[in-house]
Amino acid sequence: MSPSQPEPSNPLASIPNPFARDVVGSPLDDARGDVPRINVHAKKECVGLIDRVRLGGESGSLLLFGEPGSGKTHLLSRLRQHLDRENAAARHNVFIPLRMQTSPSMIWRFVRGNLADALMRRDGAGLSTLERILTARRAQLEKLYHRDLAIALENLISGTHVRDSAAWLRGYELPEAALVGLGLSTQPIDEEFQEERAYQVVREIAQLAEPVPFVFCLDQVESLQRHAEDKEGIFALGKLIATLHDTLHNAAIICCVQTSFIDQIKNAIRGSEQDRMLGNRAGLQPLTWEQGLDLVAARLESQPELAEVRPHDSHRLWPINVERLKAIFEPGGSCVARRVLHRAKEIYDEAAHGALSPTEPLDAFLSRISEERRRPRPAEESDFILRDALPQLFQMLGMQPSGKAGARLGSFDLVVEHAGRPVAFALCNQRPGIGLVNRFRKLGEKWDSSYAPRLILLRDARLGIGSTAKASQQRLDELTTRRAELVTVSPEALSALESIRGLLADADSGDLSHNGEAVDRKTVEKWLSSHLPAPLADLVDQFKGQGSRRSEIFPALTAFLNDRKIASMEEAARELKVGLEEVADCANQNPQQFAVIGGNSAVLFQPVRTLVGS
Amino acid sequence: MSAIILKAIEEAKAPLTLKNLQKRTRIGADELARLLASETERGSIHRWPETRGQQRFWHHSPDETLREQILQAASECALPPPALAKQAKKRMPPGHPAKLIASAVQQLIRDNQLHKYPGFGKEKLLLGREGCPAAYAKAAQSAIQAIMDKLSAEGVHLQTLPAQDLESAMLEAMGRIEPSRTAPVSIGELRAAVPQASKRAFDEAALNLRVRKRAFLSRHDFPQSLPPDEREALIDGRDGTYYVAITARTE
Repeated sequence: MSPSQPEPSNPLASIPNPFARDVVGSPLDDARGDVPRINVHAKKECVGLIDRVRLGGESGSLLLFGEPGSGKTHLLSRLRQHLDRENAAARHNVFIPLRMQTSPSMIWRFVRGNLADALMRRDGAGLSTLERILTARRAQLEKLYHRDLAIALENLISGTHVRDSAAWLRGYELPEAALVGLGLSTQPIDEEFQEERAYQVVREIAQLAEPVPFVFCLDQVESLQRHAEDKEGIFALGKLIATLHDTLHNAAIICCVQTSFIDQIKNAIRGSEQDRMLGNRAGLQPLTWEQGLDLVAARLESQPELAEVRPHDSHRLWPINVERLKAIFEPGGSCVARRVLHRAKEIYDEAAHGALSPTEPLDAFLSRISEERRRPRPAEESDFILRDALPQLFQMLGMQPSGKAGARLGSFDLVVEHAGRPVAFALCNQRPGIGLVNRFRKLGEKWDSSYAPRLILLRDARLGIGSTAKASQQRLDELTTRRAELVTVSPEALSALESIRGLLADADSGDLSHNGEAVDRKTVEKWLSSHLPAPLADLVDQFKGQGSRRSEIFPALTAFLNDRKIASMEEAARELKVGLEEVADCANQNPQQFAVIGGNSAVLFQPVRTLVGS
Repeated sequence: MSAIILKAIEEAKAPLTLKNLQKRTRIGADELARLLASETERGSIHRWPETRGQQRFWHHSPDETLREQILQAASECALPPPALAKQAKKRMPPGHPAKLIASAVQQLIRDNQLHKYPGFGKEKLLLGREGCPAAYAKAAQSAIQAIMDKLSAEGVHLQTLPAQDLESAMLEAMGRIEPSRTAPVSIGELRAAVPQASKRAFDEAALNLRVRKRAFLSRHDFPQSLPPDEREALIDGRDGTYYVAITARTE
């Protein structure tokens, strides 16, 4: 049977295409159909670095270059599987994947969160990395400088208060009652010291675990650079690598970079930081023709149903037409893995269905990916997401950062030009309490309305400000009296922002693959600017002063329903000490946050939405 | 208190004025001045030349940074002294006095850190970093390229090296730049190391190395996004692809 002339009962038609996935999403995914001899040298370099760190007691770094689709994340996945086996054999390590989708100003908090996740990841035997490594060091916990860290680690090792201790370790803000229950400090940390605190936590944990290597795998570092002239992201990256390298004895830092980024790194980072970053280098090569054949064969073998329908006298790549595969190799016989897999996918489709599957148009592809990535994010991640995604959103919509921003940013998180005037944004996602009071107080002190006539306070809609949080409410009232605007960010808007920043980071790193080819940032931005998800469009309208202003009772009503879940309209009005009409107006204006059933004695509750992918 | 100041200074990407520091550390002016004086004396921070009457402080020494920047510029391409000073000024934090830069260039000549090379055309003298002949080669390449471009416009094409020799020269240079031979070499760096080759000959040689299975070429993923001069610096694959780096093929 010829692959191009399928029989009506073609058995291939019912077998999933083994080449359907041409991107490894995360190093934590198991790479399918791995061919160990591909990029064997790069893997050896990684393992060699980790061994040197383990034995030599000195940190080291390795910069891995590769074209988009050459298998950088695949290699990290292979390395992670190797390190999992090492852990099982009691040669311990901590594998910390860092997909650098973060704002440079939160880089240490990002590392801290990912380190916490890595420590709590469980292996096949059900043990977490933290249990494997730190149980034996329990006696040393009391020597930690950071008392709260010692308590959180002690709890996690002994299996008590696991949820709250894990959240603390990730850097999430906990309610005061939870902090008191854990015996942790309730003193809020000012924004400017949070990076320092996150660094201290990373450093102390790594030092406590010495000589166990901490393998920091930085991927998608290109997404730290937002535009061609932006050096802040690369500068922060250089600083991060140099600090890990110089202050720890057990850091093995592996940084994956697109080959086309080589000159930008050299130009943006200088001196000792460049030495740390560029000192050890290795490259991921395109596949040779023979390696390409091995890769295709391995993928076919990973689909067991194919063995059952394979004709006796077929070649090992059946049903792939080798000559057609060869056509995509460059002169000299080389091609990146992603292109080989995509071509094999097309050939397989033809063999199975008699024709190529219809190509998904780019619009439909971006729409699908954007929907798939909309996942609910906890309110504790609001700051991370907003700080990283908003500047990108504004840039996309042509709202440029204010020229004066650098000098006058002060307590604001972002200042953009809109309609010829600066608009200041301040994230206010602290839980009600002294942290939020301080935040509002400082904003009140720093806000100079002659410089930025509009101040927008951004707060996750789920956080609310309860009627008992009188001081927070009072400080907020002081700001709103001066015409600061409180804009609440709905969970739907937050998940849409998370999806957008993921798409853009993938585009920056060449990891957004459509028909085997990378899609660039400009294309994604152009598509997004005309396909902005509804919750985000609503948010942007509010920023532009075009949307309906949220009712002033919105935060209080949110907090009330956070507590009560369901209540009558009258109860809400009584509790909030406002008129029934005001509650009804607020609920009707914000259908994403409040649902209403009934007429005169209406019942109010928070709608639960199932997001795609949740 | 000192730790807060040091942290603020170390995190800064450029020297900080007293006003900047006061904002970042929230330490009163008198106390700040006292601490800065003491840290400067200890050598943990450095005082930078004033701009608009403002004192500035940073953890990098101004003299060292200036020397580093001059030498860096001079290791990339040999330049006439005024052009070298201009390049260094661009690389320094804003507001560094031109006089200081010019005198640092002279001092580096006296210290034998900068080498004097004969110039091309109107330039009498070029300065390149000592021990970095590639910088002079780069200057020579630019001068030769300018001549070749003029000749090319008249329909005369020069071949400076036989193709096989050029390919060998490129492989040798790649080995020098990347001794491990496993990491990619930037095309810009390789061009500078083989200055005798015209763009056309260089690009052809690189494509030939790929055909002969002696090298892998790495594509630029979105060459259309580059300005024409940057795209021109890459290898033109003649089919719409551009290559940004080259790696020796060892198998």
